Amino acid sequence: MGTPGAERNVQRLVEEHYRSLYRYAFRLCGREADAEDLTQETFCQAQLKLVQLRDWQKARGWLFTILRNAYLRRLRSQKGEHLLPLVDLGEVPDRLPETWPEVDAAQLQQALNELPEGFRTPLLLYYFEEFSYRDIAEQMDLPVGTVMSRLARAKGYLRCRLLPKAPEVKAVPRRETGGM
Amino acid sequence: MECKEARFLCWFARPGRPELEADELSQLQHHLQECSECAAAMAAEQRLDTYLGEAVRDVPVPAGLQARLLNKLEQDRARRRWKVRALALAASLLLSGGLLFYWLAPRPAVNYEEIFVHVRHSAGIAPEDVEVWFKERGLNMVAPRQLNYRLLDSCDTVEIQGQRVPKLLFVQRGERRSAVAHVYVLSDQQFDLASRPPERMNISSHTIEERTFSDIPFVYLFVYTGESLDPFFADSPVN
Repeated sequence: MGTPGAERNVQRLVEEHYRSLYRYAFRLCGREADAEDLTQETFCQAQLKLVQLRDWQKARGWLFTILRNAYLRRLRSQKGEHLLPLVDLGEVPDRLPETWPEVDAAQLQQALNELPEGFRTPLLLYYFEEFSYRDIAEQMDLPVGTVMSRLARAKGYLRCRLLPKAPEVKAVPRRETGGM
Repeated sequence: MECKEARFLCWFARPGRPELEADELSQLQHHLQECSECAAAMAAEQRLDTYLGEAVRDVPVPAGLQARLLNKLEQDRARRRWKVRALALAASLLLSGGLLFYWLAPRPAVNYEEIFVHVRHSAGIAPEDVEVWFKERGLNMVAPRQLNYRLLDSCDTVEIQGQRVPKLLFVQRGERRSAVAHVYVLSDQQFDLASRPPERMNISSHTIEERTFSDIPFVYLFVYTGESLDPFFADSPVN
């Protein structure tokens, strides 16, 4: 139950991390209302499990893990979600184009939504909160090598979707519905 | 380091972060100093990271979100407090009800006849009647004919180590002192009689002695006062 100290700690968690958690949630689910719900759920669970947080330095990673687990639970209950099969991520393009356009926010979110969660999460954690590969691997319970490989492929996919194609770039993933 | 390996490591190197092993990083840096193409690729990779990173992070946070989150957390705490109080109230009501039922539940009055059923005052009855009395109570036993049933005071069943056991009480009344013998009838179906204690021992003013009788598959444990068991046997004189 909430003691005044625990209440203060939860308030501190909110103050320090709500922005980054909301952004992460938004990029995961792509909708404002869902992102806010997910952020709320994360803090409610954190409030319940606060005794598990022994090292305050790890609070950020702990909260991100709670949020991701909450998201995965929702994902499992939404069977019709459109996801790109892993095989369609294609090869990572080797060369970058000369000129880069301004990123279209809707196109970026669309591209992120198309990525399977197992690829989207390392990408978001990498760009967003600058977690190390090891941090990401711990959060996702994956080997570091797998995280690095997924990250490279997800980055390559975003590059394909957002940047004009360089002549050598061959892989253009097509959108499909299906499982991860 | 060759260009192919350097290009591969460019994907994973992050400025200011120890993502690569120290020797890998050192070799990469050395290669980049010498290879302008790879250095350009590395710079492009970092530019791409900046480009994508800024785009991914560019999510406006709704106004008032912090206040809504704190409000929601307070509501959640209030709901849990209410739930805990409701559970505590329910538990205390249940406990009070249980205690009330315990204190107010009707208790049976003492039934002397019921007690009498368990202890048969049996002075002078025949051993066959003793066997029947125990049989009616679900206990098979043999009343040795060698005992003096004129001294039999009562029959009873007692519990020893979780087993119901027939017990006979013999009393020899004297002018100055009386002697008693409690006789426990032990069956090898209930006890491991092969590993029983010595045949005779004294505890306080009582002597414990076991007897067996030919053709009777029971062991009889006598707990008695007085000098010996002789008075309780049929061929001994009775006072």
